[in-house]
Amino acid sequence: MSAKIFRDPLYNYIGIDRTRDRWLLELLDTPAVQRLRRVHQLGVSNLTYPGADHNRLAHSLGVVHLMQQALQHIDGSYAGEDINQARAPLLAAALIHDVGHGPFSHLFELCEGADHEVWSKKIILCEDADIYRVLKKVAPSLPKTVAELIDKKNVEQPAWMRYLLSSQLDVDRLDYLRRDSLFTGAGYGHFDYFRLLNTFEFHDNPDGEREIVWPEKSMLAVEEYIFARYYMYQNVYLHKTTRGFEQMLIATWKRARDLYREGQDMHLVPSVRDFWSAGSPDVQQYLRLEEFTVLQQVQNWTTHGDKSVSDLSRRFLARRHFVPIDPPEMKAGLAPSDGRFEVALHNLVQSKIEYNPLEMYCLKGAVSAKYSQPYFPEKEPDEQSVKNAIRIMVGGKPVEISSRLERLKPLTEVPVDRVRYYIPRELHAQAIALRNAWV
Amino acid sequence: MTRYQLAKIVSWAGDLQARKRLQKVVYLLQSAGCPLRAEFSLHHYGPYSEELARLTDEMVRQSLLVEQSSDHSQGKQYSYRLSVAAAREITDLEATESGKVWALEIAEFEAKAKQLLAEDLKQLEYASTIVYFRNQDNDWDAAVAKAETFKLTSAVKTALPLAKKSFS
Repeated sequence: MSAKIFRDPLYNYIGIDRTRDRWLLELLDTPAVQRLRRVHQLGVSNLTYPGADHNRLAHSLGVVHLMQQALQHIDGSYAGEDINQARAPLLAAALIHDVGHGPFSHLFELCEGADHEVWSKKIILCEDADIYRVLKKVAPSLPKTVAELIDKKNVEQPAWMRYLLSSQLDVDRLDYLRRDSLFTGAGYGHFDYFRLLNTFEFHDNPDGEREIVWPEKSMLAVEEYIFARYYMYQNVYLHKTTRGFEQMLIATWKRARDLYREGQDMHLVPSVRDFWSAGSPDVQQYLRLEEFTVLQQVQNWTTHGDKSVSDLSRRFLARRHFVPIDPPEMKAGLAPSDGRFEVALHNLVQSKIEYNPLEMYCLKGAVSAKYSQPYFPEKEPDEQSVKNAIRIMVGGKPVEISSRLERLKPLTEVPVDRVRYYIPRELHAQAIALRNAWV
Repeated sequence: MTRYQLAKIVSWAGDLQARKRLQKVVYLLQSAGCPLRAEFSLHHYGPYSEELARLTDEMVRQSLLVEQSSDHSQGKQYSYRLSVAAAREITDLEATESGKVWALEIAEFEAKAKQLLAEDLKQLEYASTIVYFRNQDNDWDAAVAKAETFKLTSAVKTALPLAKKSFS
């Protein structure tokens, strides 16, 4: 066997068999996959963690590596035609599951309201593109199978395959938690991934569905993984400064787009102009949006006539961030918040004539509860599907893990959705005084 | 889906038995046109909304709902009822202008909701699975066939009348 070797800081060697999996190397060499080299895995987190410059291609190769290990583990324990047939779809999906990410990953989804999974499917199923051609050569049905596998809502493919690729304990998470930890230097996100990958089992449930479960001896490795996820969310993914830069870019992007739609010259670079002028952008127009395009665009805006667009663009590039303000705790009730604190904060920002328009100087970021919760348990045995819950075999029966580990309880309790505001630093002291008076 | 809407459904149930029941009833009401906004995806036991499950837990934590668990043949089962404070707040809210609008939006679905809440749990699972496929532009025959394939049982079709009743 001759393998193409990739050096990787997390696994040292990642190998792809040049004979058996030549097609996977061809897939790797397609322009849409190579573009992932230019997509930061953590968006603009490098403005907070200077080392966080790793990209989606390295992550995708890492996911391929872990999927290979998972398949090797399955090969050693189970046999069957369904396992053989699953190999190519799983490896392909591992490599291209993120192919639809735009510049700065999830950040671009918020700028444009574009779901990366929707774009991934479009790219995979685009018959004029190289990805489709490579997959189709392997098997005519492969593009469709891979597109179904990466679609979280699709249930056409077997549950165990979907679980490996997209669940609360999948190869995607196993790679990115440790990779993000390494590159941020945050020091969290460590867990025994090797044990998790090499001890899972198949369990055929009474409804005829094959589930992925772990033996009781791996319970602590699962617990460690859930805690690692919690620490990474608290320290890296939800970092308040990073979130502030995201809000700054989102606000600038949206205002520029609105002004463009009103007919203003926004000094657009060609790929952004093509994307915005297309009623329904096609795959090629989407793929031409790159991080260097976005940064050039923001650079162009630093001298634009719209004062707020140029101001926030300069602040973004010079890393002069707004400061976060958490609203006061409100009494829990059935009605939504009355918004009086937000109105007061708006009044404060608007009292400075230079901070206009308001939506550019009082940025509101939502922290969804689901991103503060590292694992969402299944409270009743038939509440969720096999796809989501993490199950441990106890006495020959699969049991949802949080029912066995009391220590997980504080982490699995549902937090509330929160909002956080970002305002110019010059207003910080007044905003804090306003909030304190509220309490 | 709002807290007020979830509180109303629980109040219509009185004592709402099983989280799965809540999931399927909300899905069927939504399919019947009730303005309950929650994103559902198909899981092994039928349509499931993580958003709804989270909202339930969030309201329990904030003492708006009272949760009780009991041992069941397959594991634990949970039941929910309104807390005294939440019941009082519903009355207060519905006396306000915005509360009147919220109440009006779902009032016409009260009878249907009560009927669904009293249904057999397995029938709710099958009916909501059929409706899920019906919502994907399949006709009734195709929706039942897909649901049978998905659930690996022909018993699914026994829930077709319930599915049809719950579909607008």
